[in-house]
Formats: sequence, structure tokens, C-alpha cells
Amino acid sequence: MNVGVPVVPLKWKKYLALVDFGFQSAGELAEDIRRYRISEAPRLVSDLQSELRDDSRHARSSFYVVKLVPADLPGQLPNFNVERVSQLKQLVTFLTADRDENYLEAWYCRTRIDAEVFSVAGRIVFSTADGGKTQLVEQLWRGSPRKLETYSGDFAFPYVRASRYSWGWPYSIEHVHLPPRSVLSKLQLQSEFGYSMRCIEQQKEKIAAFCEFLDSFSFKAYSLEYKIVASQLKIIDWDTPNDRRVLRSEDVYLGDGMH
Amino acid sequence: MLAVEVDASLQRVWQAVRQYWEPNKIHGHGPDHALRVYSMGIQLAGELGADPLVVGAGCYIHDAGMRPDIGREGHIERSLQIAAGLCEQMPELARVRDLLLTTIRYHEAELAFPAPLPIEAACVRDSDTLDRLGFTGIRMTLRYGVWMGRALCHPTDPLCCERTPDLNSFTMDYVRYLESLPQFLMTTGARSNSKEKHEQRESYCREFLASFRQGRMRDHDDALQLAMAHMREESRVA
Repeated sequence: MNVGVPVVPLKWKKYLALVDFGFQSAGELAEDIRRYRISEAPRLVSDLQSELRDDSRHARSSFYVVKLVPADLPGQLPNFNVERVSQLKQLVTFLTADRDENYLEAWYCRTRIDAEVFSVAGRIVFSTADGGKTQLVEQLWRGSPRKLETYSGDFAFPYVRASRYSWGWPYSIEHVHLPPRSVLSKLQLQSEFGYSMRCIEQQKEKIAAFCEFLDSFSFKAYSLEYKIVASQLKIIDWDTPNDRRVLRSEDVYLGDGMH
Repeated sequence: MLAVEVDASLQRVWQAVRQYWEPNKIHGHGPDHALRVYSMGIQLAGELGADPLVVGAGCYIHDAGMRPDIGREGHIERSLQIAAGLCEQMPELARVRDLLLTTIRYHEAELAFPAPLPIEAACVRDSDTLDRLGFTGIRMTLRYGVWMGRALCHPTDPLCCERTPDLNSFTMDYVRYLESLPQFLMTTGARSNSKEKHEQRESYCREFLASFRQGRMRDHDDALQLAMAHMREESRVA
């Protein structure tokens, strides 16, 4: 039950659309995105501290993205990345800073990035231009897909950009970036990118159904964000030119999922 | 810095950020917008004695944070991140970092800003505003409308003469809204340029309405063709 939280944040409704289209179950979603009322932010910090200690005990590395969530924003929420216990002090400052927006909740999610697991994240932009449909994929290794937005020549993560016409195979790789101290070779990167695309191909039917739904709004472009950790592909988010319009039309399941 | 060094630095900035602009052609904010704003910005900087490195870099980066899937949403924050990254790579930008970030943070005409706004920021802001006016602005607005699946115009009041503009629903309401932007211009040079832009908008709207009444303005393609025809005519006369 959503006791004490009268409003389901728009961002949560957006995630629920992923449940509706079968990308994950409501239980998996609630497990992946840990939600706290904003008044319970200290508990979020202490839970995160436990997770980081647990990672350390098991010799794992993860990064955690903490988001501040208002009632009515579907995306571009303020967020803070945590990889070490030493960053928790800054996290508290982030969570308690004065802001214009009224935030209802704080969330966090975890992604493993240690060398023991395959870990990539990316974004597929589906666009329609001059009568043709293209898919542009940007993928990075062991990092958050939000980092893709600031890709540049000195990017700290291995990165591949590729495109294809509609669902044609294979992708044409347009750009490969290896940071100076990367342990991966260019060949490995291309091979792992191919593997990632095959993982995505296995969910083609679900993705195509979701795209067909978004196409009904006549958008010229929209995107899906994904991550693949230890062979498991998860579609983790989606963006369109007008998410509110999509959500108004979506009779989504308004579950709780509060931690 | 010598002018030749400023030019070389601005070339490096453009090489670094061009990739961000390319995908945004889909909603009319591709590299052509950056280049037009740059050209006008450098002209205004020359007239006002502003730092051309800051103005040029601000113009090249101001909308670089747009995305092909979500467009303008959150773009200023992303442009600021891109600029901050470039400042780490280019020492000459690092020296003017705060000023450069100010030009980007307040580049949109509608945004309130802390007074006094540095002259460099006024140059970037006015250059962007000018490009949103006239034929260039109408074309960008139409492409943005196509991209977000907006209807072209209200069925009975296409130019929004008797309603409050509904910017999310009708592209031509946004074209009407553009009429309000010249009041925000800060520099004399930009205000002077805006007169020609105003005439362009008036002439476009006149023809749009005539075509609409004859049933020849059916969708965004028709409206874009009209804008393109005007732009071709402009460049022929020039």
C-alpha cells in the first residue's frame, strides 16, 4: 500500500509501462528500483551503506544511481552516482540541498560493474526520417547510460556507436572509443558489442510491440535504455518527445513498490 | 589571445561538439542552427567588444545538449556538462569557464537572469533568439512539431488570433508565440536585425493563411514547403 504517499510519481508510471509490455515483472521492478519517501532519505543512505559494505565483503564493485523524484516529471531527474562509502557524505548533501522542485521520493538502483561480470549499458534511438526507419545504438562498458550524454574524446568508458536500418542485421559500427587504460582491445569491444546486440535481438518481439505502440503517437524519434549484466538484458527506461501524452493513453498498473 | 589563436580554438570546439548536433537535425536543431547562431554571435561580439572566444564557444555549445529522442527537455543542464568537459580539455576555455557556462545557462530568451548579464551572454542569447525568428525560426518550429507529433494548426483559428497559444498542441500556435520573442532582445544590433525577421514572419503567415483558406495547407509538409520556398527566394535575392 502507498500509505502516506498520495501521488504515484509520473516516473514510476513510466517504469510501469515496461511492466505492461512484459520487459520485467512488477516484483523485479520493485526489487531494482528502491523507493523511499523523501522524509526517509536517511534510511536510503543507511541501506546504501549496507549494500556498499556487502559489495566490499564479496569483492564486487557496483555503482548506485540515486534520484530525487517529484510528482510530475517523467525524466531528467536530479541524480547522484555512488561507488564508494566515502561518497555518502556528499550524497547526504545532495539529498538535503534546497531546491525549487518539491520532491516526493528518493530512489536508488544498482548496477554491478566489476570485472567478474559482463556489464554494459546503452540507449537505442529509433528514428524515422525521409521515409526510412533507423536504429542508432550507443553503448558503454561498466557505467551508467546517463554518461552517454557527455561522450567526448576523453570519455572514461569504452564506447561504441552503431546504426542499422530498421531491424536489419548486422549493425554498422560507426565509432569505437577505448580510453587509454582500458583492458579491452578494439576487437574484444566489437565482439562484445555484437553479443549485446544478439541479447537485444532475443527480445525483438517485445521491443517491436513497444515501438509499435509508440509509433501510434507519430513521434519521429524515441529511445529505449538498456543494461546487460551477466547475460541478463533489462530494458530500464524509455523516452519520447512527449511522455505525458503516452502515459495519459496508457492504462498502466499503478502498483506500490515502496521500500 | 591573437585572433588566429581564437579561431583555432573555436575550430577545436566545433570539432568536439559537432557530433552532439548531428542527430538533432531530426527536430530542426542540427548543426545549421549552431552555425547560424555562431555567425550572428561573432558579429554581435565584434560590434560590442565582447570576448569572441566565449561568445563563439557559447554559440557552438548552447543547444548541444539537445537529444533526438527528448529534444529540449533538460538540454541546458546537458549543454553545461558538455561545456564543463571541454573546459577540462582546453586550458584557454578553462580560463573563461564561469563566463562560458553563464552564456549557456541563460541562452534562452524566456529565461530570467541575474543582472547584470555579461555582454558575452547577451550576445549568445540574442543570436539564438534571432535564429528562432523569421524563416529560420519557423522552419525549426515546424520540424520540431513534426518530430513531436503535434498537429499543424487549430482547425478554425489556424494562426491563433482569438485564443491563448496552445504550444503543446499546435505548431502554428508556437509560430504565433515566436512573435513575443523580440521584446527579450538585449542588444541594439539584434533588435535591428529582428525587424527583417518580423517581416519574414508576417509574410509567411499571410501566405499560410491564404493557402489554408484554399485548402492547400494540409500538413507540416505543406507548411515546410512554403517556408523553404521563402528561404530559397531570400537567398536568390541576396
